[in-house]
Amino acid sequence: MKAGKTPWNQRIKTRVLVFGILMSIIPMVFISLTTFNTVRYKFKDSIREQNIQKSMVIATKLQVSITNIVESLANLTDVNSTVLIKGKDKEQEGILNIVLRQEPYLEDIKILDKNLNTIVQVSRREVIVDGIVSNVDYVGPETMPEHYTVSDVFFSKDQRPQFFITLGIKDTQTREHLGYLQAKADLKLMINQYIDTRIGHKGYVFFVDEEGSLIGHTDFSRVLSQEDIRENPAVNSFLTGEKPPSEYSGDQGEKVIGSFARVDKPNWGVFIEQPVKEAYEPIYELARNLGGVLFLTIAVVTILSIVFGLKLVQPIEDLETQVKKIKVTGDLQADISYSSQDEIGRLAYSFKQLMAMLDEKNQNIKAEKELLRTVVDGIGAGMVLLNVHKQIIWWNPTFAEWFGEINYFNLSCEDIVQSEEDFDCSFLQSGRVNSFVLDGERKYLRQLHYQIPSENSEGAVYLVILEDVTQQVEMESRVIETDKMASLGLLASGIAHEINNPLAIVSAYSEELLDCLNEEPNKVDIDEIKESLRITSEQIVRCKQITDGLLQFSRKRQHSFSMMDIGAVSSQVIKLLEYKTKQKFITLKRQLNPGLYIAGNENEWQQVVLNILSNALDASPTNSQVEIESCRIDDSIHFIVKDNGQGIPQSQLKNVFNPFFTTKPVGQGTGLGLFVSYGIIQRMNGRLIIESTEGKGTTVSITLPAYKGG
Amino acid sequence: MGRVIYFIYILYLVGAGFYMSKVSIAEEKVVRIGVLSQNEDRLEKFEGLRDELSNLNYQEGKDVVYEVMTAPNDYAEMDQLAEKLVSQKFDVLVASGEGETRSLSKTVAKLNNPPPIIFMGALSPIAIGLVESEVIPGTNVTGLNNYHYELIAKRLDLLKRLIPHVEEVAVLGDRRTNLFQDSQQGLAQTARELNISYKMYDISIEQDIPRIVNEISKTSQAILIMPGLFLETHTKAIASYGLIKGVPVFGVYPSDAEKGCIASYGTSYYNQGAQTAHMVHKIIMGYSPKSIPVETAEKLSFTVNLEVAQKLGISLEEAYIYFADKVIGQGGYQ
Repeated sequence: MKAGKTPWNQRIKTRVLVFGILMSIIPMVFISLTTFNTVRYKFKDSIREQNIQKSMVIATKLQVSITNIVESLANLTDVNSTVLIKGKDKEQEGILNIVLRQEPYLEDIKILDKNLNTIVQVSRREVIVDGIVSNVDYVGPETMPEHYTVSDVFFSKDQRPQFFITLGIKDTQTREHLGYLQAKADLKLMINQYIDTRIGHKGYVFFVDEEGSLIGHTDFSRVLSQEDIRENPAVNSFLTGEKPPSEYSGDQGEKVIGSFARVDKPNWGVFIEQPVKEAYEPIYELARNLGGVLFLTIAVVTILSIVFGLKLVQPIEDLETQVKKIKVTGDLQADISYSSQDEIGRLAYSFKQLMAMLDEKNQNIKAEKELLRTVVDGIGAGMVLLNVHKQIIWWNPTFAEWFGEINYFNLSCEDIVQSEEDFDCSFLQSGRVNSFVLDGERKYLRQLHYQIPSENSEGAVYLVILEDVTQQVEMESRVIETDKMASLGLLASGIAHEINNPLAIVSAYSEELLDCLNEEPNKVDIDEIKESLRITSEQIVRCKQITDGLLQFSRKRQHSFSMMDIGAVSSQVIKLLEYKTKQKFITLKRQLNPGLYIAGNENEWQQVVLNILSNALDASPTNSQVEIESCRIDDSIHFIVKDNGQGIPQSQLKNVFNPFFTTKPVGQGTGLGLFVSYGIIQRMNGRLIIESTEGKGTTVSITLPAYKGG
Repeated sequence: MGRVIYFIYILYLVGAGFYMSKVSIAEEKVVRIGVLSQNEDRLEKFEGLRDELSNLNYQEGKDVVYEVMTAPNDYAEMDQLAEKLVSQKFDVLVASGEGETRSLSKTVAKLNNPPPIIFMGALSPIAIGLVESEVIPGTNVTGLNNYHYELIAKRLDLLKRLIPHVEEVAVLGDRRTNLFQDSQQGLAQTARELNISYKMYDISIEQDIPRIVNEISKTSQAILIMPGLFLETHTKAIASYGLIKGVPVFGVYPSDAEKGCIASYGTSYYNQGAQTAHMVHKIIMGYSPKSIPVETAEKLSFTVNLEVAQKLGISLEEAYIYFADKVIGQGGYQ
C-alpha cells in the first residue's frame, strides 16, 4: 500500500456513510416504490371507476329528466285527450301553461291535430299569434309506433340546444288517434347542472347524440362551433360498441382518462374526460411526499452516519496520527495511548507490542549492522555494490581510500576503475588480478564479483570485492623468478655445450682461414674463404639464437597478458632443451599446430613449458621418446606433454603441486616447477592435469581458453 | 474532494429542507373574485353567484374570496371603484350589469394582460357592444344576456293574454338606454300581430312619474315597463302611481310584482347571478373568457299579483295565471 493521503472513496468513514445511506435508502425506496405502485394502480382504477360512476349517474339523471317530462306529457294526454284536441282555446292554453310551469326544461308546448296542424301553442319566449298555424317541427316515424319520439338536437335563435318530445294523443275511450302533443325541451337547461360537475379542476363532461354530434359540453363554445368529435376514442367506442380505452389523447391533444355511459332513450352518450396529469395529481403528490420523506430520511441517516462514522474512525485516525509521528521521529519507544478496551484499544495495544518487537529487532539489526560495517571496513578489501546498469550505489571506506574520497554514486565501473590491465567491467572473470597504480604505488587487486538476488531494496545486482593481493603477487613473482633462475642454472651446462659446439666450429674455421692467409696469401681461394665465413656466420647465428632464447627466457617477468601463438612460443623453449634431448638420445616428437592463440604472459608460458618438458626429459630414460602436442578442441587449446619415463607413484601424485616437493635427486630440482606452473595456468584460467602411471610414464595436459580477440 | 462532498451534502440538506417546506405548505390556490355593483339592489345577483359557486363546491374563504364594491347609482364613483378593483389584481372581475362592465372594461383596457370580466346580466350584449359575438366573445369580457330586451314582445304578449280587454298599452322606456330606439320596431310588429296598440313614453327622471302615469291613465289600459336602470330602480313608484290611477303595470323582474306590478316576466337578479356562477367556474377551471359564449337567461319567471288585480278590479285570464311561477295573493293558483 502506498503511503500518503487515502482517497476519500476508500476511507472508512465514507464507507460507513455510504453503507448507512444505502441501508436506509434501499428499504425506503423499495417500500416507497411498492406502496406507490400499489396505490397508483388502485388509484387509477378508482379514478376510472369514479368517472364511470359519475357518467352513469349523469346519464341516469338525464334519462330520468326526460322520462319525467314524457310521463308528465303522457299523463296529460291520457287524462285530457279530448280537451286537448276538442276543448276550448282557454282550456287548452290553461292546461299547456300548467305543464309549461311544471316542467322547467320545456321551452314551449303545442297540440297538433292528426293532420299535424297546430291547434294551440304556448311558449316561454316566443310570441304566439292566434290564428297563425305553424307546421309541426318534428313528429318522428309516421306511424308513431313508439310511445314517444325524441327529435335530433337543434339550436334555438339564442344558440341553445333543444329537442322535441312528441307523443300521440288518443281518445281515452276509443283509443282513436286524435293528434299530437309536442314539447320543445331545452337541453342546455337540462344538462347545465351536470356539465359543471367538478371533475377535478380540468375534467369536463360532454354529451353526444346517437350520431356522435356534440350536443353539450362543459366548454359550451365547442358545442356552438359544432365540433366534430367522432374521432374521439371514447365517442368512437360509443358509436361502434367497442370497449373504450381507459386512457387516450383527448381532443385537445392532452392525454385523458375517459369514461362514458349511455342514456337509454334517446340514445345519447354522457362522457367524462379528465386530464391524466391532473387525475393522477394525488399520486404525484404522494410521490412527492414519499420523495420528501426519503430526502429527510437520507438527511437524518446521513447525519447519523457521519456522527457514528466519525466516532468510529476518530480513534483510528488518532492511532494513525501517533503512528505517523513515530514514523517521522523514528522513536519506536514512543507510547501509543488509547485507553478504551474495545477492538481499537486492542489494536493499539497490539501496535505497542509490535513497536516493542520492532524496537528490539531494530537494535539487533543496528548492532549487526555495526558489526558488519566494522568487518566490511576492516576487511582490507574494497567493496562496491552495483545496480543492474553497473552503476555504483554503495562502496566501503577501503574502496574510497584506494580510489579517492569522492561521490561514486551512479558512476559506472568504467568511470572509476582505470587499471593498467584490462579490468573486467563486464564481470566475466571472477578472481582475476589487476594491477593498479594507487597513490603512486602499484597494487595488485584481485577482482571478485558476485551476482546477488535483485529483490533487495537498494536495487543492488552485483557485489564487487577488490582484494589487495599485492604481497601475494610479489611473492609469487619472486618464487617464479627463483624457479626461473633455478631452471636457468640447470640449463646452463647444457647451453654451454650447445654454444661450445658452434664456437668450436667457428674456432676451427677461423684458424684454418688464418692459416691459409698466413701460408699462401696469394693463393687464397676466395670461394673457400667465403665458405669458411659462411659457416662461421651460421655458427655465430646459432650461438646468438641460443643466447637470445636464453635472454628471452630470463627476461624480467611482466604481468601483462597478450595474444601469443602457443606453438611458436613453446618452440623457443624447446630449443633450449635440445642439448638435453641429444644428451639422452631422446626423440622429441613435436606436433605443434600453428595458429593456436591464447591470452597470457609469453614469459610465464615459456616457464611452464620449460618446467614440464624438463620434468619429462629428466624422467625419460635414454633412447626414449617425449611427445609434445598442441591442438584446438572447440573453444579450448590443449597442450600435452607425454613421456615414457618412470612415472610418479600414486602416493606422491597428490603432492606434485606442493612447493618444494620433488622426486629428483638433491641438486637437480627445486620443487617449485609444478607449483609455479600450476599458479601460472590458473591465472590464465586454464587447467593443469597430471596423469601418471608408475613405470610407464606421465602425461601432463594443459587446457587453456582459446583467444577470442578484442 | 472532501470539501466538495461536504458542500454537495449541505446543498442537499438545504434542497431537501426547501423541498419539504414546499411539499408541506403546498395547498390549493384561493381564487380572488372582485365584484362591482352599481347599487344595492343588484347585490342580489352576487348572492346568486355566491350560492351557486357554493353549490359547485367552492368554499368561501378556502377556495374563493370575494371583494364586493357598490356604487350607489353613481357612475363616477363606479369608475373609481373599478380602478380600485383592478389595482388589487383579482383573478376574476364580476360586473353586476352593463354599466359596471363598461367601467371595468375601460379600466383593464390599459393593462397588457387584462383579467377576465364576467357580467351578471346585461341587455343584449352584442347590441350594446359589450362583446363582439355571443358564440365567441373574442375579448376578456363575457357574461349573461338577461334576455330582458328580447322578452319585451313576450311581455306584451303575456300582458294581452293575462288582461284580454286591454286595447292600448303604454310602454315606459328610458331614452338613455341603448336599446330604446331599437326596441320600437319589434314592439310595433308584435302589437300588430297581437292586434293591440301601444304608446311609447320616455321617462328618465323620478319627478315625471306621476305626470306621465296620469297621462297614460287617460288613454291606455296598462303600462309595460321596459328594462333599464332608471326604470328598474323606480318600478315601485310607477306601480304605485299606476295603482292610484287604476292602470296595471307589467314589470320585468319577478320582484316587480311584489313591488306593486300586476305581473312581471323575466329572470331574477338572483338567477342571473347563479347562472353567471357557472361562467366564473369555467374561468377558474382555466377556460379563457374569449371562448366562453355569452349565455342567455335560462330561468324566466312569470309572477302574477292577484292583490293588485283585485285592487284594480281587473279580472285576469285564468289560463295564464296557470303559467305563473308565483302568484301573489288569494293563496295563489299553485
